[in-house]
Amino acid sequence: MHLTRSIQLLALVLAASLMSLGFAQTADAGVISTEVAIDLHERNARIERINSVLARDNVQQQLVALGVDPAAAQERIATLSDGELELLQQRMDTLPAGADSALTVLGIVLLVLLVLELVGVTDIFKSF
Amino acid sequence: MLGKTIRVVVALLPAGLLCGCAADPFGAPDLHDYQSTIELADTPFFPQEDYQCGPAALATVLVDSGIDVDATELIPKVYVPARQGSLQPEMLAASRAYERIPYVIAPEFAALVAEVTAGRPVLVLQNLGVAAVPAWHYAVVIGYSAAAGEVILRSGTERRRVTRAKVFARTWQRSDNWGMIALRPGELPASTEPERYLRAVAAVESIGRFDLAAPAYEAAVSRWPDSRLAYLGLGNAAWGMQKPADAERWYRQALEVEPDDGTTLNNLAIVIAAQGRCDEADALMQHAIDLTSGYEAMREILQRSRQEMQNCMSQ
Repeated sequence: MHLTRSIQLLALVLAASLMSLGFAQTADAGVISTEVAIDLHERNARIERINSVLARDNVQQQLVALGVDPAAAQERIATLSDGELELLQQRMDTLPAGADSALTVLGIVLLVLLVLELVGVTDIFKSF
Repeated sequence: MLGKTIRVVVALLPAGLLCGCAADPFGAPDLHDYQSTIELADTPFFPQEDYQCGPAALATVLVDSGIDVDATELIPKVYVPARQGSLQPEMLAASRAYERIPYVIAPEFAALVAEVTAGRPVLVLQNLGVAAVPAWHYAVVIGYSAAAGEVILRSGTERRRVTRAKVFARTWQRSDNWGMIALRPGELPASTEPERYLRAVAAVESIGRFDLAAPAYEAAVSRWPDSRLAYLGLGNAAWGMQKPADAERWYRQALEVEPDDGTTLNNLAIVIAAQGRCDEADALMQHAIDLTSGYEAMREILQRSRQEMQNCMSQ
């Protein structure tokens, strides 16, 4: 019984993903975009391009989870290229986030302290 | 935890200091290769508030390229609250939203100098800290002094930050020398690499802004008249703007450069079919499939296109 439910669910998911794949292809009407053409030119093209509809949803959700306003997130994903979407989808948490002065100060202060520590001026780190 | 991080840093530090003694350890630029001093003093400045060097640096290059925007307006477009910063792909995407073509420069000091020399400030990502204690930071390079060995930046709250070239090279190197400029559609970078530029334009095409991509491809065609990809791009932009006859003309130009290119033949066949010339399109597609027999990825695409084109016949 339980198994049947799971299979039904799986079938539904598969059907949905097949439908979205079909839409992606017909919408494209077969003209190869310049982005793909450059990949092909460099002979590193993957036939199966990322499903940009799903990728956009995924990146949008990740942005919202990181505190971006949902409406703003929707606007933001609209101007990402496929390559950028893929990068964000996979590495949102590890990509460097160019940031602020506070961190910078922390970094510099820390380095100064370390140098002072090395030359024996301070003795601060033993207390950690 | 903090103690451990610090121990790691302490362990790494002597290695860093030792490297500092070796000749040119970080690929630090020899500014004597370059002429005199350049400073783009008119570059606007947006003092950064907490965490917001991304919006500030982006506003700097966008305003410099003629867009009316300020840093505050860009915060909801590139700032990621939980990361307390901005991500590189989003800096590029936001530039597109303001009808600019973001171009990632070649990851070398010479490319940076070339753009500044051409009058374009370069937005760079730096790590002002070290790998173990990163301090990622966006700033804008507006010039350098060869004699003094210095790089001049708009950075954080400093309108004119002067950094020793060697130190700048190290902080920049930690981001793999990432830098971008914001090009007006039709404006070319100082670079001599057509593919790097065409990639930047292709990204604009891929988000459906064919109106911005078209003049950018036109500029590429005038600088690189032998670039098949530039003509293909013009064709794609025309097709995107529902101008199949124009697209056909550009694809045919691309074929003059590279008669056997599968991508161009594929696109040409499709725009010909769209104009109702089904037999001609089908023959062309078959010709393309025959030509690319040794290249499976291309062949599969072509066969799929040919199947889709069957509709042409039945209409």
